[in-house]
Amino acid sequence: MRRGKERETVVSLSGVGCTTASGKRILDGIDLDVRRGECVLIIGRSGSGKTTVTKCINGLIPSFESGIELEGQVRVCGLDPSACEMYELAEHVGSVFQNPKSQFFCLTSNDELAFGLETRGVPVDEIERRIEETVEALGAQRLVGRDVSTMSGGEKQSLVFASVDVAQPDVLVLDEPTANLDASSVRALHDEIAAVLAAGKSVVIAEHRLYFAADLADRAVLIEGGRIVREFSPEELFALSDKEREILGLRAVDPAEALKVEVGAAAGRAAGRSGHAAGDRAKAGSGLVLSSFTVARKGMPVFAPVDAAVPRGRVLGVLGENGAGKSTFLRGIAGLERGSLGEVSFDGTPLARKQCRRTAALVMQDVNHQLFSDSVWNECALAIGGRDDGEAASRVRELLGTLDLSGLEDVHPMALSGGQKQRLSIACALLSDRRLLLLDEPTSGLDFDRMVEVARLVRRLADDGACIVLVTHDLEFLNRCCDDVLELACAQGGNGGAHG
Amino acid sequence: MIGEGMTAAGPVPQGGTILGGRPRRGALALDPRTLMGVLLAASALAFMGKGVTAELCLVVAVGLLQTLCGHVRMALGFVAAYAALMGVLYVVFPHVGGAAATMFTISFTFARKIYLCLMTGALLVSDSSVHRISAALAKLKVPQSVLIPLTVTFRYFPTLKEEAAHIRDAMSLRSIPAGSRAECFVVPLVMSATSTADELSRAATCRGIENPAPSTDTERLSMRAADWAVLAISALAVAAVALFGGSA
Repeated sequence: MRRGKERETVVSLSGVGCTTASGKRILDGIDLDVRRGECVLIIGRSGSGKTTVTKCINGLIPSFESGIELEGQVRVCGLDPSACEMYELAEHVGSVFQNPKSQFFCLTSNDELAFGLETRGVPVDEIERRIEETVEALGAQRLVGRDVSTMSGGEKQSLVFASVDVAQPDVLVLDEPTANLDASSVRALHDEIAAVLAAGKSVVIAEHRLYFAADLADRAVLIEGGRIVREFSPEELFALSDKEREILGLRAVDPAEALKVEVGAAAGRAAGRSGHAAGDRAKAGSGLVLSSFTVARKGMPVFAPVDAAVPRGRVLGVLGENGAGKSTFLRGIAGLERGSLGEVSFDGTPLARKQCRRTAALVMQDVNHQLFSDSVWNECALAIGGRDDGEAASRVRELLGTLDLSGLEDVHPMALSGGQKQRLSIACALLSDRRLLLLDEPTSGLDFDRMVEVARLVRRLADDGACIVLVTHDLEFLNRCCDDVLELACAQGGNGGAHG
Repeated sequence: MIGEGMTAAGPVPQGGTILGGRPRRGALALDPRTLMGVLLAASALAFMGKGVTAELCLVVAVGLLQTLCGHVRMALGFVAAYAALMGVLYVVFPHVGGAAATMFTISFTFARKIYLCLMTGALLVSDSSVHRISAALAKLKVPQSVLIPLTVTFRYFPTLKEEAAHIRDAMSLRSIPAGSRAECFVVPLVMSATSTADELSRAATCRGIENPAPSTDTERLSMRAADWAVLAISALAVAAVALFGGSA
C-alpha cells in the first residue's frame, strides 16, 4: 500500500487559504502534497472544507467561484490553476462530482466516453483505442453502447468516472462521488478507482463514507474548520474506535460494519404472513397494512408481492438492490403508480389509489421538487390549506419550533440547507395531517452527525404516532432508527420476504 | 446478490466501431449535411408556386427518399396524411362551405405549403442523433458558441421531462389550490434547471469544453456519391419547379 513514496509530487498546496466575499475563512493554511500514484482521502464533517480543497486542485477556485479569495500556492502537474486556462488544466486533472445526473453531455455512453478527447481534437482512431483500453482496465463493458437516459444513477456515475479516465489525466479528483449510490454501485466505483491507481494515476477523494475508500487510501487527512488537523495511515483509520470516529463526525471505516443489518430481530412482524403480524394488526388496529402489494409496469410486477404491517409508532426500513424497485414501492404506496396491485390499507380502511395520495406524504430523494412557495411560512400555509391565521398560525409556529426551523419563516425554501428542506417537507406533511410518512433515501450524502440527527427525528416522529416507511441504502442509518426491515426482491426472484 | 448484474459483460464493439457507427437501416445511409441540403431545397420550394402535379411528384419523391433511408413507416404515414389533406381540401371543403371550412382551409393550405419541409425535417431528426447533427454543423464551420448551447439544450430535454414528472407527482400528493398550480409547477422547475445548468457547466469546464482546438469528428462523417446524387436531384427539382413549376 505504500505506493509512490519516492515518486514526484503531482499536486502541491502550500499555505492555501480561502476567504469568501463575506469574509468567512473556509480554508486556512492547507499544506498538502500528493505524489504520483498516491490515493489521498480527505475526510471530515460536511462544511469542514473538504470540497473546497478539491476545488483548489481542479481549478473551480478561482475560475468558477469569483467571490472567493485564494491565497498561498497551488501547483498541479506544474500548472498554476489560477493562471492557466481551464482546458489546459483539464488535460491533467479529471473531476467527478456528487450528482451523477448533471455531469454528462451526450445522450449515448460512447459519445460521452469520447467527449474529453474529442474537444482536444485527438484523432478518432486514437480516441477509440483509449476508450477500449479504459473499458478493459476498469471492467466497464456494461457501460458501452448505452442510451444514457436509461442508465441508473450508479451506472451514470461509473460512466462519468470512465469518461474522465479516458482522457488520461494524471490526477483524478472525486468530490463525494458515492453520495447518491447504493452498495453495489459503490463497490463498482471502488474497483474502478483501484484500477486507475494500479495504472499509476493519483486520486484525491473527499468523502465521509469511509468504508468505500479506506482500503484504497495511502493516507487520509482530516479537515476541521478549514484546517488539516490530523493525518491517518490506513492502519490508524481502521484502528479508530467507534467512539473516536463518531467524535470526529466520520462514518464507519470497515465495510463489514457499514454494510451490516442489525435490525433483523423484529423483522418477522413486518411480514403479514407470519404469525405475529395478525396479532399485531388486531392489537394496534392502526397503521399501514400491505397485502400482496406490488406495482406492475408494462404488465410485469416490478417487485415480488409484499405483505407487511407497519403499526403507528413503528418504522419500516426497505432495502434492495438498485433496480429492485425501492422507489417504485414507495411511489406505489403513495398512489403515484397506475399499476399498483394488491391492497393498501391505513388505520383499518382499504385505500383506493386517489385516497393513498391524500393519506401518505412522500419526502423525495430530491426534496427540491416538492417545495413550491416563496417562503417557509407560505409553504406551511399552503400545506395547511391556505390559512395562516389564529389557530393555524400557532400550529405552524409550534411545529417549526419542534423541527428546528424557527426564525426561518421568511427565508425562501431554496435558500435552506438540504436538511432544513427535508424538515420543511416533513413539516408540510404533518400540517396536512398525514400520518403515513414515506421517506426516499433521507440520508444520501449526509455526514455522521447529520445522519444521526435524521435518525433521531424519524424516531421522534414515530413516537408521536406517525407510521413511517423509509427506503435507504445507508445501513448505519437503518440500524439507528428502524424497527423492521423489508428486503425487496425482484419479481422474478421469488417473494419479497422479511430480512432475517 | 450485491454486484450481480453490475458485472455482466456487455458487448464490446471491436476496433473502429465504437464511435460513429450506427445500424444501417435502408439502402441509403446519408450524411446529415445532405439531409440539411434537402431541407434547404424543400424550404426554397415552399416559397415557389407550383401545380398540384408537381407538388404530388415532390411529396412522392421525398417519400421515396425516406423509404430508401429505411424509414418505410414514416414515408407511408406522410404520403397517406398528404392524400387525406388533399382529399379534405379538394373534395370535402367545396361541399361543406361556410365559415368553418374557410377557417380550416387557411390552416390546411399552410400545412400543404410546408409539407415538404415537415417530411425532410422528420427524416433528418430521426435519421441522425443530436451528436451526429452537431458534428455535421461543426463540419459546416458553425462556430462553437452556437454549437455548445445547442448540444446542451438537447442534452437537457430528457432531464427536463424527468424533473417535470417528479414535480407533478409531488404536487398531486399535496392539496394545492387550482389558482396557484401553474406557479407551483414552474418555480421548482426553474430552480432545478438553474442548479443543473450550474453543475453541468462546471463539469463541462473541468473536462475542457473550452479547448479552442477544432473538435474531432468522432462520427466519421463523409460525403459519398449517394450524398452528392441526392443533393444534385434536389437542386434539379428546385430548378425545374422554378422554371416550369406553375404549369407542370
